[in-house]
Amino acid sequence: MLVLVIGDFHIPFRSSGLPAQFKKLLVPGKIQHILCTGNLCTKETLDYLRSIAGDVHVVRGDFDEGYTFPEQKVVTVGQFRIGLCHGHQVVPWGDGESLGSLQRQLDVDVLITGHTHQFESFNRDGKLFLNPGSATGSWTGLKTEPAPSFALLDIQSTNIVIYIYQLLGDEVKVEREEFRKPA
Amino acid sequence: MAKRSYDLLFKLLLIGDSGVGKTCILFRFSDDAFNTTFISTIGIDFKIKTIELKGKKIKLQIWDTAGQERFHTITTSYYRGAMGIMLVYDITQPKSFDNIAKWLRNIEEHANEDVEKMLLGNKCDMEDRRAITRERGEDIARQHGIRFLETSAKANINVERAFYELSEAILDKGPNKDKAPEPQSLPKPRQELSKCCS
Amino acid sequence: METAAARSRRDELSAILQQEVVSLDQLRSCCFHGVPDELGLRPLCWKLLLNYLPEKKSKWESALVQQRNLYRVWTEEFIISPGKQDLPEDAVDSSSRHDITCDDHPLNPNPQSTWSTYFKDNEVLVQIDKDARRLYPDMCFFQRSTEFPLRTAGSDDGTKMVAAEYLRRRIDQCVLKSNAIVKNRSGGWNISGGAKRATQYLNLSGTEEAHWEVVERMLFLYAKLNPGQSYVQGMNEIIGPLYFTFSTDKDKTYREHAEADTFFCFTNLMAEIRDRFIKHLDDSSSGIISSMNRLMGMLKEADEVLWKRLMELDVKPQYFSFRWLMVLLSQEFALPEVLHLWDALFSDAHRFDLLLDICVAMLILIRDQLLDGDFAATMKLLQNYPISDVDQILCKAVQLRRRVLDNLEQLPEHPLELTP
Repeated sequence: MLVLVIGDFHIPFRSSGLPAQFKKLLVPGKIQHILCTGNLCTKETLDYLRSIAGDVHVVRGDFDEGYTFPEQKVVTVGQFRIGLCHGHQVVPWGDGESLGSLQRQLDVDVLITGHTHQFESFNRDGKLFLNPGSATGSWTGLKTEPAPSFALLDIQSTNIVIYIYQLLGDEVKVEREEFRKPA
Repeated sequence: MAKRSYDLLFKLLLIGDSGVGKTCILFRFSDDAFNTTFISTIGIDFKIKTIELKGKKIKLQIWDTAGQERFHTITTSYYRGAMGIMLVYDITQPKSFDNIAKWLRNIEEHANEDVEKMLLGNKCDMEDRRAITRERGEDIARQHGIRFLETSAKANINVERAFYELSEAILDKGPNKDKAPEPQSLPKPRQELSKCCS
Repeated sequence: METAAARSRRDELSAILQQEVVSLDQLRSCCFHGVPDELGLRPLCWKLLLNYLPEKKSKWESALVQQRNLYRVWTEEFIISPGKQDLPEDAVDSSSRHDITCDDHPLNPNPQSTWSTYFKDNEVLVQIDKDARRLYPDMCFFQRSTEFPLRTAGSDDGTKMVAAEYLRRRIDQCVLKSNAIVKNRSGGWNISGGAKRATQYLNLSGTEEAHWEVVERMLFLYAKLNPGQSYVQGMNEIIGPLYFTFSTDKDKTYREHAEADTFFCFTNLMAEIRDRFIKHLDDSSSGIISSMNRLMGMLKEADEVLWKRLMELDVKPQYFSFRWLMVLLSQEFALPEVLHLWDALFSDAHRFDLLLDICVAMLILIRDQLLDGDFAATMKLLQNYPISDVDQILCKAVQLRRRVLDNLEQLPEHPLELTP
């Protein structure tokens, strides 16, 4: 099952739109579900996501005004419980310990957060922590020019294959890694 | 001489990708019912419904076509006789919307030049699965100068309206080949009443 | 009450099937008027008539084992394995990060890539899925779960999944089950959801397979093995009655292998009617347009008045006979009648000349109503054929064929008896 993990667009306030190179890749018909970390910030971006996949889950970012997105969400895909939270609520931002605490609170196998605009994926105590970064590479207090990025998860029975898409300069770099649920 | 049960005969055609709901739309209009499972349409299907519009009894001959590519050589032979064509897509299936351009090309190639067209975005009851916004439907309809409606055969939204509007467009166009001699037509009593009440 | 003729046919059929070498000629003659339902011999007869089982009885066992194993291999290769993704060849450790920019990945726009093929196949699968779900909707058979789901050899975690699960996951259009956590004013959490899976369809649980899912799998496999045809709407209507017949076999062992047996019989049958499913063969001599034209020609010969009437009304053959011919009348009658008709069709040594005779017979049998009606009434009648007595139709078809053959002053090849 293919799940797109993406967020921190900040369109149109900090960024005019998704990079063309990404738009070319994100065609409808391939992705089944979308998990969005938040900070869209407008209906246009939400509509765009819904045109790519029929099932879109969004959590509230600190710049998502006028929406009733939840603070956090937990979805189940096969054997995996996946937690979704924007991350501005988790202090210190992007801190391993704090994220670990949230993961335990939500009791999830995978925790997805954003806010830092920095792509991250690491395995800690048998749990997967994923940050898709900013889809538009918009600036943040922590980083002025992050590389635009997002992730695509191929969720299988007991493992998840993570495809990492980053725009470096003009080219899209694709990487792959795997996460296996401990027995 | 036998009294005709209708004044005019309009031939309509329903086209669009497989599974968008053409058969359901037709069934909703002709039988006012909905069924979640119709058998797949092989080739072409046919229904009749007589409506009253602007004082005239209009017999609608509606052809429901198979959507898959394989049937195009067979179904395009029906385009020429059609006076009105409804193009249907599914608001939850982006591919069915992307293919509208292709269906429009088919019409250009095979149908009469003056055929009346209408675009229908079906399954509008499935808001939580919506992949194509209403705006996008309106945009493409505007680009091609055709009418647009979002419909739901399941929830019975805008189906009757779609057929009436398309029929009205054909009627307004002018003289039709299959016309019976016109009686003196009086304005519809209903319309007069509503003017009073507004 | 069983007639003497019917009883003797029944005995004759049993005798034919007892032979060490089954005579196909005799079998055809006998099956033409219908395989008696109560004997439960239809599955066996069809397997012989469709050239799946060899004539020599002693070879049946080995032939079946071979074919069934082959089917198993194909399901492994085309249904189950594509679910596993391959690592780049030089990757040593799958858990560490590898640059695959130059390799394959799901969003790879290159149409030759494995992932692109996977998604193209999914488009075919989506169409098959829609059609398999709506097979004979008035019967519950296809919605029920099969006694013999196809289980995989053993997946990663040691559990045995049903094969249908692999196809389900590829095109699953469900909404994920989710819990939403909303902060309330006082700073606490409100947990909502345990949300209902808002699916457009209801699916069986992971350990069961519905009959329609078996049909889906067979059609998908056929499309993969026959890329020149892929899947065309109507194939579902051909495979449906075959699968129904084989999976309701009185013999449990045969039921267990209904899927594999259906697949090969379907393949054999498709080989004979394939040209009607291929668009670019429409205008060829073996294509559907030519068949429809032949049909109208035969009608003209048999009943010029009726033919003329249809011409006058501009009722073109594609308005009704396209469907009749393409799916072997399976959408015109209820399933039991279809099976009866197919007994006759499969018994025709010149498949499918008889089909045309049957279509002409169908028209002639309602000639009074057709001659009387206007375009709309005629169309309605032809799209909802009113006669369900298959015997009557077959009788007429034979009569017509005899007349044609007599006119040509030829001896019929097979003695076709007329029912009393």
